[in-house]
Amino acid sequence: MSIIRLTTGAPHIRSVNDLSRIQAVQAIALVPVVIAAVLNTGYQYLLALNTAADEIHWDWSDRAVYFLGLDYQNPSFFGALTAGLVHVIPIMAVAVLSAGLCERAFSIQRNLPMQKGFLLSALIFSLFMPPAASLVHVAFGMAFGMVFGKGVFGGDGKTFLNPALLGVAVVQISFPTALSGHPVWETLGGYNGSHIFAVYHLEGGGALTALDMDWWSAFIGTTQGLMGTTSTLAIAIGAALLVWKGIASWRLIIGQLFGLIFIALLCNMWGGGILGLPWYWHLVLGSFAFGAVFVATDPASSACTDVGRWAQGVLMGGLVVLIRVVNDSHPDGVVAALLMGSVLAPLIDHIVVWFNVRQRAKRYG
Amino acid sequence: MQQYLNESYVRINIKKGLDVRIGEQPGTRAGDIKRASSAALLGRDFLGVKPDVLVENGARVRAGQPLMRDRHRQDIVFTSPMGGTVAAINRGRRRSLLSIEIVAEDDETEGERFPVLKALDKDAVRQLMLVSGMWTALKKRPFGYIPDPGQDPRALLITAMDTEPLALDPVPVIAAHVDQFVLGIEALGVMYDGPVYLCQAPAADIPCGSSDRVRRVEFAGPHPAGLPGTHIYSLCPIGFDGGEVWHIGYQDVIALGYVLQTGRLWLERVIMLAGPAVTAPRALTIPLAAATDEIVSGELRPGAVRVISGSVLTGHTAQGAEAFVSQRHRQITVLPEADSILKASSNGGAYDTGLGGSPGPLMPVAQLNRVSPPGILAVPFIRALLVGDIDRARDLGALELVEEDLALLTYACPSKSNYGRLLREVLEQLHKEMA
Repeated sequence: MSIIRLTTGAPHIRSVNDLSRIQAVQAIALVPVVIAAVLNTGYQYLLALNTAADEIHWDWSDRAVYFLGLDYQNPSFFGALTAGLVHVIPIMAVAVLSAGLCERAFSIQRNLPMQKGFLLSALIFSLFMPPAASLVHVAFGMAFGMVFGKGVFGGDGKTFLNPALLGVAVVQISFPTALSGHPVWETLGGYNGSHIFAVYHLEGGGALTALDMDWWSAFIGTTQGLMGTTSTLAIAIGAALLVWKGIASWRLIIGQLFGLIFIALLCNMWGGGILGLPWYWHLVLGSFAFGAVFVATDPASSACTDVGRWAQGVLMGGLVVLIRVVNDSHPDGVVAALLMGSVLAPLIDHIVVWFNVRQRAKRYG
Repeated sequence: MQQYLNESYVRINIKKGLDVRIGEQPGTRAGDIKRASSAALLGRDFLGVKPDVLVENGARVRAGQPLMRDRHRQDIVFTSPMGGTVAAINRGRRRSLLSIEIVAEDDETEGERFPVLKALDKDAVRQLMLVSGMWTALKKRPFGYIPDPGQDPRALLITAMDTEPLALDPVPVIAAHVDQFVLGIEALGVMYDGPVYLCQAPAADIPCGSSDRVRRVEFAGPHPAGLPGTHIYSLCPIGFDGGEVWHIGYQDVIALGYVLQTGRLWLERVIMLAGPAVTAPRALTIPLAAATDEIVSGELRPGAVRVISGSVLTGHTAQGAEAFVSQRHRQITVLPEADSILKASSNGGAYDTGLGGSPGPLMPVAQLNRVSPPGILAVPFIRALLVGDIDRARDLGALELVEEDLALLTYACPSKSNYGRLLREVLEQLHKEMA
């Protein structure tokens, strides 16, 4: 039984937006990304088995795939789907469980009904994980994000950092040998899974040819990487939905793109190697697109004025490239850039408000 | 045929906003006449007024006779919209006046006569407006109260457009009362010496008289392009230094011209009766401040409905002691009451009175910036309202606004807070501090 709530005065009609509906739209926008993540993870796994079957670790997920009897010699759609689900489902399940327990704990302590936002946080968090992530790391990171990113601030809509982002950052910083540094963000345990930007730092300009990558496969998402971040195409579909529904600010997304292009062009003028990587590669490699669309635009933790959104977007996009090219121990750079952007958002808004107030005072004389 | 649009005019494009579509827009065909046997003076039309009621229950009154006056500004009187008997004086919370109901007598008494002015001059026009009650049609910014008769505004705006959902098109109404409208504009031009702006829709064919002080301004774009708040922001922003801007609606201008011409009150108004629960939406000519029950009887679809005097964004629920059309409203909207979650959450243009979700924290989604009043930083401003920070709200532009300017924000905001109400609280506090 739900209670029907009515308006009690002007305005007598209301839009059908509320917190849970916003989160539902955000989750729906993630559906193409999840599909791409599952298929690509399975595809990469079968590919890796093909080329490096003797390096197999035989952890439980490898065994599961083995017992399912998948034909990795000829990767099929069904094979990729199954192998993908075997990797994606445990990570998501652990993330949901971990986030749900934290949410429940806070709801008991505050004597409030459970909010559904933890599902969205868990979804974003698990899509930010590599397929071979340790489940312990997943549980720890998610719990940290939920408690210190959300719970202590009072729940959905009252955060200043996206809880999923905070969780990912903590995992990256806490377990650098497993998830950061070099080799980083392995696709699967033991295989040729170094992060593309780590390869860049080691090998210089020849990395793309060494990995035999072309731009379209990176755009569509048949490359190695964090599960949800490989397919820029799927992310773009989600972005379109979020912007159309008025949830994400297109200013933030386009601003990040501008920042990325601007700094990348500056770096190109500077030199070769990773500095010479063109901006359209920065766009499709690593987790820039995923972070820009699903994390940076989180309404609760981004700038809330239009000018502020432009500023924050350009700042974050520029920082992504900057961190990528100057820092070889944190090759992706997206998480750090987003964290910095979120932390600076209130300051940016403060400046915009200050200008607005000053302008108004001036106009009145 | 464009008769009047030959002189130069300014055009202002409003980009931000939202036209809420609640069903089909009814035609602008000249409407039927509907009678009503009771009318009322509504307390909610006169914000900030401490009323002294001048009549008693059961007293006979003529149309145009003063029913109450402002205790602090004794010149300002509120006149009866109908001749008959005072049926009830309804009071609400803390004895605030809700309404003074008048029931028409069978032998309808002749309305009050006011002197017909031979020549227009400033004091005479103001005096006539005061005694006829037409002064109360003026509203001032900041605060949205009735202005002081002794003061002069920086500018006077005539709102001859309407962008509210299911609004009545002013052009045919004005066309049917051209003489009175032009006379009303001229009188307003005489009443004070500053600029008079005629705010109208693009290419609307509206006369504006011969005075060279009247400037025609077109506002194009979605709602709130038709709100006085938007016009004031674009033409003559107001602020902290005590300057004020007055505005008046086009039907009140016609009524003013009518008083000047005939010496009697214009006891009719043209309204749009529309909404999803109305069987035959159309424009109607109804008695001034008529009882809504009589106007909507026989016009409604079966089922629970909410009759609203005004638009769905800014009107009041017409029920009980307030079941009358406000003298400032130009429409009656009837919405079905939400009776199931399913209907309340459907958005296929079939709007009802559902809240559309449950109250929650303020999520600064991008849509809020698309529907904010011009020049206002939506999220910082509503945060100031939510925490009741009146200094912050004033710095961010509270004085430029009244409730209706925030209606779209309230409509769109997922937190389900009512920013119009919060703004009024802030404005009342600011008014106290500035006095």
